Amino acid sequence: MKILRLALFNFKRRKREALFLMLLTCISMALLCIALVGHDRAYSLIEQAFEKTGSKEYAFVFKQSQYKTEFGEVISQDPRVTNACRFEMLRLDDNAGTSCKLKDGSIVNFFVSFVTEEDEKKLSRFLKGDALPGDEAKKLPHPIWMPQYVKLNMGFCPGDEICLTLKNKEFVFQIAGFYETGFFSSSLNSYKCVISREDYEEVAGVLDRNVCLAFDLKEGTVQSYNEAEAFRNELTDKMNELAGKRTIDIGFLFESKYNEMEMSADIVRVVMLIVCFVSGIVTVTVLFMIRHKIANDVNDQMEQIGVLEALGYRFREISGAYVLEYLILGVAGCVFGAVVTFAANPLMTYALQAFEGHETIGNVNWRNMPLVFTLLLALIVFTALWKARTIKKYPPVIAFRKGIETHHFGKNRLPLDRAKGNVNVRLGRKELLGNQRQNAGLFLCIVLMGLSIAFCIIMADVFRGGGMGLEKTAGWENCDLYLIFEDTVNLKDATAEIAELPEVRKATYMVTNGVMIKGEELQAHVYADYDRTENIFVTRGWLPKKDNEVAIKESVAQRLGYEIGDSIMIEGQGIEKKYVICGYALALFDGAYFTEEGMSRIYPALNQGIVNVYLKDDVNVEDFRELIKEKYGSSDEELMAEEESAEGSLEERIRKKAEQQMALLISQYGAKEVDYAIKIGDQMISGGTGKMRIREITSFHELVGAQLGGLSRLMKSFPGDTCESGKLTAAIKNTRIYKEWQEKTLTFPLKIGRLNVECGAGNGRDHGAAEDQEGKGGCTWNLETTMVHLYLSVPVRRFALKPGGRIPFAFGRQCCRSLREMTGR
Amino acid sequence: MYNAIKLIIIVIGERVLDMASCILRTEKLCKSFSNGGRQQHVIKNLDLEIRKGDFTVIMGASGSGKSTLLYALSGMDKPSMGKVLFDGTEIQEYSNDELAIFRRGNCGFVFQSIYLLENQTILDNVLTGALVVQKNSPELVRKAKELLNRVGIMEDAWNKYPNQLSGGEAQRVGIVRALINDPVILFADEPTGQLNSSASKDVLDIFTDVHQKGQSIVMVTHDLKTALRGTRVIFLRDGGIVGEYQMEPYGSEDLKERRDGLQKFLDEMGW
Repeated sequence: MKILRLALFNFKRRKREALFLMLLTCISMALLCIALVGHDRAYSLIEQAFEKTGSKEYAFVFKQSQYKTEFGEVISQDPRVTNACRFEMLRLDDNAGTSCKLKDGSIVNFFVSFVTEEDEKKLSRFLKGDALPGDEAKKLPHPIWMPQYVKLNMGFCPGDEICLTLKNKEFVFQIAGFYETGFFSSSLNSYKCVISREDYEEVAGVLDRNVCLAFDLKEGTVQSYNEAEAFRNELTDKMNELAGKRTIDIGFLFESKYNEMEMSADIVRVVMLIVCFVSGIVTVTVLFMIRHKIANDVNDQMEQIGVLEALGYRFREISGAYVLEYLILGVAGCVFGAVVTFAANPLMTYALQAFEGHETIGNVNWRNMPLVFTLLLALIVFTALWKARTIKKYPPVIAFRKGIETHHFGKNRLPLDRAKGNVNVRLGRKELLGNQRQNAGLFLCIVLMGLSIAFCIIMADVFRGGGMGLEKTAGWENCDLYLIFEDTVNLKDATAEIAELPEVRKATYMVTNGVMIKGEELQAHVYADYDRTENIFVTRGWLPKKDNEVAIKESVAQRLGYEIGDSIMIEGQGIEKKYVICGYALALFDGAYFTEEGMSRIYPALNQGIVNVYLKDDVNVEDFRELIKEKYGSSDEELMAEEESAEGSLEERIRKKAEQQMALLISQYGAKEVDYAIKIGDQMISGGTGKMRIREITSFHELVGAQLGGLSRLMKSFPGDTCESGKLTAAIKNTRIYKEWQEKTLTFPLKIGRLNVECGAGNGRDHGAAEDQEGKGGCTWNLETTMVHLYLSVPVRRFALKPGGRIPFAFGRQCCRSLREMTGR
Repeated sequence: MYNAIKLIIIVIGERVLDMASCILRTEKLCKSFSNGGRQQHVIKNLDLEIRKGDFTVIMGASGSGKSTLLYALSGMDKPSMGKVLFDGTEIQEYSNDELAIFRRGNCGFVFQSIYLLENQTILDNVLTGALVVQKNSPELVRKAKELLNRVGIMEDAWNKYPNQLSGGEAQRVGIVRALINDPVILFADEPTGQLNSSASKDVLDIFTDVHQKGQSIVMVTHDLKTALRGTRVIFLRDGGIVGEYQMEPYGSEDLKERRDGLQKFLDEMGW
């Protein structure tokens, strides 16, 4: 009791410091709990998604051209395999992705695959989530069911129109809804979209057909990622024998539940590790502050300690009072931290869902919380006890002498009688020298705090701008635009021509291929000229200059047991060649860097690559994008679709017709190069496929935007930025608006609270968008799908109004009333 | 023969009586400090007995070892050599914890700088001293209040903080804090050193009062007026006792005569 009394008196003395320490402890506790809980949930979220959807847990995907029926037999005849099924899937080839315009006008780029509903039902239960009501979906001309990831990360809603550009051909779909899926649920391995049979056949004209073999394994066969990989290797060895070549050349894909967990949870794990790291810094700061504060308190209260000792208090009791003081602070901080963790759970859930693309909730393992609680308290008590024990060194008489044990009171540093300059400066320096240890501790605390704050700001910045901070990550060229040309275009010529454009600062090209070192797959990169790259670095050694040199990631080298200067055998496309490791390169993924000549030793015909375009400072990226589209925009499909015209000279019309015929040969018959020569009288008109045609224009921002869109929106919802956080959805069929639209007279004002939006341009436009003048919110409508979406830029909880649904709070009611007035329902 | 036996019995009796009334005794007490690598002997082979009920005043020039002797006697500091016997028990070998327990039961302290705990009220300051020995109880609180009343600290000041009191008032609170546990000996280190004459008189009156009620007191001072309150004055020089002067209890004789007698003793000591 007497110790408690002393501890409470210490509290009274420095309330603000105590509160600050409590706050820091609270932050530390909350961050650590969030990190641990989030880390666990990263896995359970995916596990639950598989469980809920009843999805098969393993799948091999082969290009149809590479597939042999024996592969299926290898799988189905394995005694460990159960529930095997075979279905078809459309996928884009390696380098190309699809671009898609989001509602806010920004363009994202991602990988996509397609299946029909019948095939999806072979893989899983096709568990539908947020979707159009009733029969609305069936009435859509081109319905598409997309994975939850698209909803969570790109802000689309059921009924929205989505335009996917696949190999430069635009496909317009209407989102019927979103569904939960175990496999192919994110851009990491493609969004698996479910479309109608008719649309599927149409898309098949552009994408490659793939055969998918999905199955489950008997319980206990595989229980970890490594075991799944071992199983895969076992099966692929058998397939290798059947195919007569290495699996890397078969072009297959293996997916497993564990692989999905590793891939999707990896980024969460990294983020949680970062959170853990920040929490660690805060904890260390707390411990340093406690240590420093006790040292200060003991110093300041030395005489009072002497009095207490004179009164008969033992050193244990006095030091116990200090420990108790920080124990109380620690307990209070940890309790508040736990409350914050509980309160942050919805936010955490949304962030995890956005990361992983599953709308499942996952098991929340709160068991970690007592562990963190105990750990933090143990650290606090240990630190306090460790420092408070110094009181033992001060029996009462020494305490009265302010801790000096003898009559020797030490050297007088910087004596004032020798002061020449400002006396205040002299006194300041004296004070600094007099408290060297405490000042060093204080300095360390400030450095740690500064570090953690800077780290948090950097991380917030990275995710806030849709992952823009990542563009500075070494190992990935962060140029202004990436251009992917049709296969018929010569990459070197294209790069040279682009580099000649007045808007371009420089242009270079990059080619990627898969290679194998010691049985491990690596992504091999070839840059035309490493002197012209801006973000490819080595930590040791140099980037490759000769055809037998390769630079690899240091972690890969360590894993495989290599060092710089070692000779290694690298295999690709069945050819194996010897290379020398010339440097450790920084790379985003497990990668290796070659020269063009070096790569051609194992890949005589390089894959079609990407032209990296670096624009001059004053050039607008969007303007340049338009320029490129205009100059190289006609894809084979677009050329074929062009109607014959009577305009232009005879030669122009002939050339146009010839180009259409070439496009037909390339897209329909797989021709790579076509030349033509047409004689009309004495005139010879000739040409060929030399004309460069762009397949895809994308940028780093678009690629990252597809991955981190959800989190970016989440970050933007913090004060300071507007956000699209309120959402109201309603069907308007048979409403006044619908009728007006049919009569082509639609125009309606929309007033919701402070919002005042003029929605609708009339004249039968079936979809559009409008914003209020202050940018607080707006409305998008798609009358074809009879849907109206209101979105509000004020930070309110997300909600959706469905027929018969409950409106969460007053704001929703206000929206609803306004919508009712508007729609006449 | 009879007279001789009677004398022996009387001498032995007085000796036994002396032994019985002696509560604190030192034998060949030495205390030295290291000062810049050089040993400085502050107390040298000092033998001293403190009797029960005595008001012992220790005087001497600055640096003569008065405070060092007080701290060694009270168990606040350990001697370098020699013995300190409290009620016949050697305390010089006690550990710091044992000394703390010894102090809480037997000693009360009044300091020159008062050293009240700044963040505690007057009543809490007194109770801080008490709660180390006994559990909190209404009787204890009542006793603290009675003692405060006795030294002239009235109820309106009980919840004040030390910096709201005058020096004299604060020192009176210091005395109450020292007395709350009914110590065997009350040690005071220049208790009026920082007080004006009026406040000093009030404080000394309290000391006289508690002494008259049977309290043993050991006080260090260099002030004649303060020393007049004692019954025995010990004069220190260079770490050793060079003279001792006995007086009747304060108030029982003419003050002028008392002062002259003490002044004469101090003059002889070269004070």
